Amino acid sequence: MTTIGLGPRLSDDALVARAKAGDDAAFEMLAERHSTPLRRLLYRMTRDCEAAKDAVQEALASAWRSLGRFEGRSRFSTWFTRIGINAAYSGMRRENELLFDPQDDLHRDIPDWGNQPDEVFESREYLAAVDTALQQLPDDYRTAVVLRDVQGYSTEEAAELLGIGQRALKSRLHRGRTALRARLDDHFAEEVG
Amino acid sequence: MLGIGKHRRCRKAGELLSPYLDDEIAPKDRRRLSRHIAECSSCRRLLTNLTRTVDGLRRVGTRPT
Repeated sequence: MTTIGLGPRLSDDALVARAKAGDDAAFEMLAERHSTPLRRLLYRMTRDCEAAKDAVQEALASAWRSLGRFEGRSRFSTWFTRIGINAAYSGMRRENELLFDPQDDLHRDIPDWGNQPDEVFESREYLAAVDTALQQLPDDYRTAVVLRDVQGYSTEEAAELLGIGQRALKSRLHRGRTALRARLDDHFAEEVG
Repeated sequence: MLGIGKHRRCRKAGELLSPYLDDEIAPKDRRRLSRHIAECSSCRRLLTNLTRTVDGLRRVGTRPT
């Protein structure tokens, strides 16, 4: 089997075909291409760096094991992301307690959003409040909100990633957003006052 | 759908806000929601706050992890 050298960027489909034929380098290239975006997404879901990394590792192992059964009916990235989400869900169920310390250093990580000092402060404060509220959502709602609003997947893509119907996705999204909005009401009230 | 009592109209409107923001709402429901929003200050405030919530989520998404 010829392995991949330097050359034009191969498509995922081409890499999958090579990986299925036993080319380790092709799978490594797929892993390199898709692991970081998946880790970011899973971090948003779990808010735990180690849990996200573990879930990516599980997803890679699982993808390698089941690559022969991947029929290409969805994109490789969708299939791989779905495996990762399932791994993260399993981890969350095991932990069953992903509450974090609201005093963590969210503020330090949030970039500036405006040019005026007041705007910067406002944006940081607000985004920290959004992030804290997001952490407190039930797993199913948080995952729907993260996929749709934070990561920017379409309704169709998010539903596919979760293996649920679009109607169910919309319902979780609606409930998650509504719960977030309710948690942020105090913040909005302070702004008005 | 929104041709009912105010309490129920507000509840129905609340259910439509999220799909409205995603532009995934039937034209008929959009018209009814728009009419309700125009006359109901509490639902208007809900829509504003939900819009800001979703906007905040999108900005959180641009933050490096």
